[in-house]
Amino acid sequence: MTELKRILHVEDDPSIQAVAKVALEAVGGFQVLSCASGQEALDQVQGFAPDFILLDVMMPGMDGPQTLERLRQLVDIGEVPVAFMTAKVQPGEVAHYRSLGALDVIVKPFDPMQLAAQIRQIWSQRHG
Amino acid sequence: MSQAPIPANEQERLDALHALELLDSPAEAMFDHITALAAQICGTPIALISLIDAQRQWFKSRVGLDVEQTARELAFCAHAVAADAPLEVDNALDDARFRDNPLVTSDPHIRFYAGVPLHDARGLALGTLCVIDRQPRHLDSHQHAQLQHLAHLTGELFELRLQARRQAEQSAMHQAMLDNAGSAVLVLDPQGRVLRSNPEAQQLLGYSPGDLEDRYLPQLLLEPGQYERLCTACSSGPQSTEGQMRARSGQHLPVRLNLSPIRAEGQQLQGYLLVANDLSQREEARQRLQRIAAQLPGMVYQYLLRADGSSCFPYASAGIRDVYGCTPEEVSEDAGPLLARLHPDDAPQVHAAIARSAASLSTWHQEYRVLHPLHGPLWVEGRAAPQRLPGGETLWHGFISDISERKRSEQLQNEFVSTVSHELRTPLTAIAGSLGLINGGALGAVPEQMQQMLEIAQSNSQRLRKLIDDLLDIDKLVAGKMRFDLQPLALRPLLEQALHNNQPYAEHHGVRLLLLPGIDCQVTADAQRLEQVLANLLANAAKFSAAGQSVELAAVPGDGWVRISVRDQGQGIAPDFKPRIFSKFAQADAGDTRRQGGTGLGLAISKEIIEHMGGRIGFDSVEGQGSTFWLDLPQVGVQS
Repeated sequence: MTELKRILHVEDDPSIQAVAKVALEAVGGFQVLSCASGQEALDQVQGFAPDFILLDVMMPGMDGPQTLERLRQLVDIGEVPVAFMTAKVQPGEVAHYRSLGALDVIVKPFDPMQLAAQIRQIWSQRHG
Repeated sequence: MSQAPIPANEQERLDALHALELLDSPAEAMFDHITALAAQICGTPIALISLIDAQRQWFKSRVGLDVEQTARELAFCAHAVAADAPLEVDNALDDARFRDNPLVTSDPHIRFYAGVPLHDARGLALGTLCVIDRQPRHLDSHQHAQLQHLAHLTGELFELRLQARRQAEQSAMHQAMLDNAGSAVLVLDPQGRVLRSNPEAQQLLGYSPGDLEDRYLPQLLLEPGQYERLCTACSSGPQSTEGQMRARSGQHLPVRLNLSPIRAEGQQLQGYLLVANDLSQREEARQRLQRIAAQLPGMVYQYLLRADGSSCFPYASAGIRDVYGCTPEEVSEDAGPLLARLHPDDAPQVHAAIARSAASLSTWHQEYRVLHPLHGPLWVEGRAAPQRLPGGETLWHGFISDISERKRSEQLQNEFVSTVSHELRTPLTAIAGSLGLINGGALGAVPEQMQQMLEIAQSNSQRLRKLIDDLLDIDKLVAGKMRFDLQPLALRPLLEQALHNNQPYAEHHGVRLLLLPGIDCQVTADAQRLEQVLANLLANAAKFSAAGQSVELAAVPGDGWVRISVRDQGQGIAPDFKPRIFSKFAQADAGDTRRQGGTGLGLAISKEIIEHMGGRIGFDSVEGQGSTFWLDLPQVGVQS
């Protein structure tokens, strides 16, 4: 089983990007690459080779689901587990995001002290 | 002297005599002509129409005699009546029955007597027509026959006289009715000529008594041809219609006209009876209402729901055009054209509310959409008070107004709230996240005083987040955008979970949460939303309890519902706060709010959620004795 080390975080808001980066690096001990848009993620994902991708749903230009669709077409990236981050969701919406190929949904606002643990749990469900 | 025997049918005879109403009545010329004729034909000085009652003979008519009556036992006529046959006595002195009769031995010294019984229509002998002389004599056959004819004629006159009396009485009654009808009445011949008019008619139309007679009704009616149409329709029975009459002054009077044919059974049409009721007052009231209604926004109306489920608008102001795009006349008999313009999504709710209002006689109040044929969809608000009519119908009195403008601004406001809330969320997430990382120690230790400030900042960012969440919730609920996943749920595990989740918060206030024992039951609800409501009620109960008190959670099924209750031992709810406890941003005391925390939206959200799930929410509270908040949810089944 691959170890969870490298996380690609795609988020257009720089503050949230920074908070998540600290939460995942300082608290979780991961290595994080933050991208500000779907396009930036597509450009950099293969060079970074992440173990896990965290995608904001609402982004200007290419949104989360569109980015996911494009990521799936890339060599070596198609199989990397993905979770969406989005504002408070209704029960039906989680099912919808899963049907798009996401493993799970992390609800914003997230608890930065718990974020790493949350991602580990999603990861272990996939690999457990 | 021998007395005449009493006839076998005496009582019947006397009843018939009294029924003719002749006894002791004044003289009448027609009978006096008959007695005069009888005396002349027979050549006698005396002729009488004598009626025999129980005690006497009484003379309805007499020629040549001054007395009005004699005792019955003296009466020659009593013999003719007893025998019910003509009696002729040529010389009373030769007749043992009469020779010592005082009427023979003294005045009037009767010698000759000839009498013929008088009969009523049924043939009962009532008395006689008789001729008397003071000389003996004998009538020839011709005279006998004449006397018989006259007696017949007299009997017939008795009957006709009675009929005439009855007719006179009836006529007097009709006159009294006509004079006091309370409506204008005209009696018309078949051509429409006025034969009689009553004082009301004269007053209504401004004519003197007698002036209306011989005028023609068509000239008194404003609408040409109306009389002829009414007459034609009258062949199938009385007709009623509204129209206008022309008064003598030239003024036009609104009236209800009722025309009935007058026809004796089996005979030709005699004419018509016209009854006209003055509608000026009604017309004035109608115009007053119309002028007032025209100044009101929207429409005022009456809506009638008949026992068979059909309905109509007996009254609607002209504003109905603005609200529904139809005319008052189009819906005065059938509300169908109007009901068809309710927005299909809202129609069931409007109809259900009407049914509830009719059943409970409570005010109907709805906001709904109308598809106006010219203006497109409109939002309207209606309010009407129902009244039960004796026939089982329900009549509402109310108004409906266009609230599209208000709805548009509400929608803008809601969109604004929603947009602002979403926009606030992202920076708040960053703030709360940053503070969380610092306070969580992810970035190392911070000085103690700074730590305190950072914790204040973090707890307030959490409060702000809760407020935004609540605002978005209430926004979605009110806009009907929150989806509910209604499922049959086992209640007990859900309550246990709620207790477990909220225990830490309660402990923070030093309050114990208890779940009372009970049987498990199933309710129809959305689990996540129900949890949200329970969390709100439990948190409120804990917040408003003193340290050391406990809060009891219980569920009791009954009558198709399960009642979940949260009981605290806190300070209770102030009476003046009770009416607005479920309103948005309602909190008992602004000063207290800060100490207790909370957004002021929790109960408003809970109420919306419970009602969206088909349930009810409420509370019982006595100030100083704690509060019990309860919610009723539809029960699915009871598990043992």
